[in-house]
Amino acid sequence: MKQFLIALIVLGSLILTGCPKAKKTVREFKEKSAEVTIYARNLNQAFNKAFIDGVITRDELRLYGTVDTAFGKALAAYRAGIEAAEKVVNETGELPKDTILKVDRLLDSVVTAFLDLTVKLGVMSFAQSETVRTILRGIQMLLLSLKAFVADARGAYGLEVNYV
Amino acid sequence: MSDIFRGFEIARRVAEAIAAGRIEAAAVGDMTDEQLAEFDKDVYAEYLASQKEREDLLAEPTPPEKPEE
Repeated sequence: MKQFLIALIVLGSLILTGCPKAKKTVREFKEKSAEVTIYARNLNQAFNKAFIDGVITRDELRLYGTVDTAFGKALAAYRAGIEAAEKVVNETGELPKDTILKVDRLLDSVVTAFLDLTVKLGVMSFAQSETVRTILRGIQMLLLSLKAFVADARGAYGLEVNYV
Repeated sequence: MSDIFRGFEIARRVAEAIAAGRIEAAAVGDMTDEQLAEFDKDVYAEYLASQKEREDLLAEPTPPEKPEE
């Protein structure tokens, strides 16, 4: 009986120390998902309005749309990955390393798709403006900070960190 | 509309969109889990709606060019 109680205490301690860390990681993944969605929504709305007002051409809106569509697919996969990771945490109290790596790869594809979007914006005629170039660099820095976040998450789980 | 004006105008609009996004994104970290879930759901729905709006705009027939007078 005594051994059983000790085992229960040890198991409880493991769950109490492991679970918050896993939940914190899932929460951070969710925050990044919401943040990147905010920017994508705002850009979409700005470009739609610009087209309606005659500021950009149909071809420019279409070019923007092709990249945003790719970004949207990556984002949908990332959101599904977070949902699956949260389910694992709720069921087991832990976030397995392979789940972290999977969500990490999905976030990476989201970031890559968004970076592609900023590159495509950079070749449009309006991007000759220094202001736009500065803004695009700002977005790219934000995206690179997301990569740094993933590196932190990997480091916290003792995984290999190979981001710049 | 001249290319210079178009360039300036779209730059201003993109700058506004990003600046507004920064303010909203900064608030995300302070939300409770429930607030974040609700907020994320709304933002994602708005993102999807903006994609649909773009598709509708692009599907509209191009207005015929006016003959030069």
